[in-house]
This record gives sequence, C-alpha cells and structure tokens, in this order.
Amino acid sequence: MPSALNSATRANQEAGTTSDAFTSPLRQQFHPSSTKAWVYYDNNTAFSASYNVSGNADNGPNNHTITWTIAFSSASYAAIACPKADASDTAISAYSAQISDSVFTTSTCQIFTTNSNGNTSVSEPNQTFVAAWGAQA
Amino acid sequence: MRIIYEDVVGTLIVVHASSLGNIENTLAITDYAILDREVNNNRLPKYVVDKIKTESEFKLSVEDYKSIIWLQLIPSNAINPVEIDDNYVLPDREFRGAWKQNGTIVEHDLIKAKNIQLERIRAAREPKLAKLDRDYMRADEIGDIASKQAVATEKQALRDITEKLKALTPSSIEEIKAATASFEEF
Repeated sequence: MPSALNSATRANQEAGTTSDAFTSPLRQQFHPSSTKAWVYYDNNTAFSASYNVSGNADNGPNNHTITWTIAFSSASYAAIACPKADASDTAISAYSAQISDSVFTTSTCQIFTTNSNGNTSVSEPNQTFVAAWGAQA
Repeated sequence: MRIIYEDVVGTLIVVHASSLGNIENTLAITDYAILDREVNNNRLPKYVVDKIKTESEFKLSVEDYKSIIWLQLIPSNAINPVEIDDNYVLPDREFRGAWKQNGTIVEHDLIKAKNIQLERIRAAREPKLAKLDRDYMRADEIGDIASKQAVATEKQALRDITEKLKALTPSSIEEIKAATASFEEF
C-alpha cells in the first residue's frame, strides 16, 4: 500500500510500475492500458462522440480516415474498428472493418468497411466504432 | 464543422470535424512537451499552444478551433477545400461514389452514377446467370430441348436488363433509378 498520497507523474503513469503514488484524472490517460483515442462516427450525418479525435474524413463508400488530435509518438500502436449492425440486426448487415496498412500513421488511421453478404444496394454500415492504444509521449 | 474538397484523383472528400469542446478538452489536459512536439510537426498552431501555456483558464476560440481543424484535417494538395454549412444536407449515400463538388454544394456525377448502377446490376445478376448455366447443362445432358430454350430465353432477359440504362443519357439520379426499376427484383 502507498505510504503517502504522492501524485503520480506522467513518467510514473507511462512506466506503470510505481505502487506508492496515486494517479489523477489528468495523468491516468498516460498509462499504457489507457485508451488514447476513440470515436463513434456516423457515415453521413454526424460525428457522434469521441475522445482525442479531431475529425473523420469520408473518403467515399466504405472508406474513412480518422485523425487524432494528439498524435501517437510512433506508428507502433494498436487500433481496432468495428461496424455497428443496422437496425434490423439481421445477417444482411454482416459488416466488417479493416485498418489500412498504407494509411496508418502517428496521426491518422484509415478504416475500410465491407459487407460480407455482397449486398448490392448501399452496402455500408451506418455507424463505426474505432479505438486506439499506445504511447503518445 | 464540415469541409469538402476533391483529392488529386477527383474523389469528393467530406471532413466531419470534432466539436470545439472536444478539441479544447484534449488540448487542456495534454503536457506542454507533447503540445510543443505537435507544433514542431505542424499539427498545432504555435499561437494556440502559447495561449494554453499562458492563460490560467484556457478557452479555444472559434478561430483557434478552425485553424486546428484546417491544419490537421485538410491536406496541402486538397483541391477547392471549402467549409459547408452545418445544416446543409448531403445527398443520399446510395450513389456516394458519384458525388462531386460544385462550390459549397455536393452534386452527382451522373455518368459515374450510371456506371455504379450498371456494376450493381451486373454483380446482382451474376449468381443467377451461373445458376442458369448449370440448368442449361443439366437440360443438355438429358436432351431436354424445351428446357434449354426456356433457360436461354431467361438468360437473354437477364443480359438485356442493362440495355435501357446503357442507352440512357441521365439528367438526374431519379432517371437512373427509373431505368433500372426491375433491378430490385434480383
């Protein structure tokens, strides 16, 4: 147990090994396990909710680029993307998402979505979730 | 805040910016060293970071906010980037691949839209044509001439389904849809 109410520094948080200091809301984001950025975006009408995301570029059907407000310190970070099912929750909305290999930089992350059922109409998920973890300092 | 522009290959890009409050909150809790790095990487204006460092209660102005959005989200090779009204309603995404910019308005490239619709029809009829090919082979194996003729007629009808659209010089998306009404039967 900590012997005193020491405040963890950013370096303490990044290292994640100190046991005699408490973190604060300001510092907790620097821990390696902390989600550094997340976003829930709508394809067309709204930028729904986010943290550390400055914007979403709609590049065309099934193609979006997310830009982080504060970039990662290197491109060695993790990101996941997941489309939301449509309102019917049926198999026709069996969407999937991929992170681009070529546009995956410290400050941007491109997302491709697909519909595995080959729906020939619009064939895009209405909403997509993206989250990322890694070092920013 | 939204900005539209065309990229170097003519694709219309629509940028949806995060809110001023979101950007402000993120900057307010970020260490100065990281903010300085972002300035050096040309991702934040120096005057904004100077404000963060000097103001006891940092508030992002609309001007600050817009300068960050343009810096971070609009590439230097963007063609005709313009901010569009937040209340402007973009066209339906059914023909998203055919969107084109006309000032602050998004329109359809009708030739692109026509080609998108043709590709959709071809993709949708492909499995049906493949099934008819199998039906034809089975009929051929047993010498069923009537079935072969019926299959041939059905295949021709599928091939012809694009003819009306191919012949069309579209003046609206509605015309493209009207020319492919039977597409929905697939």
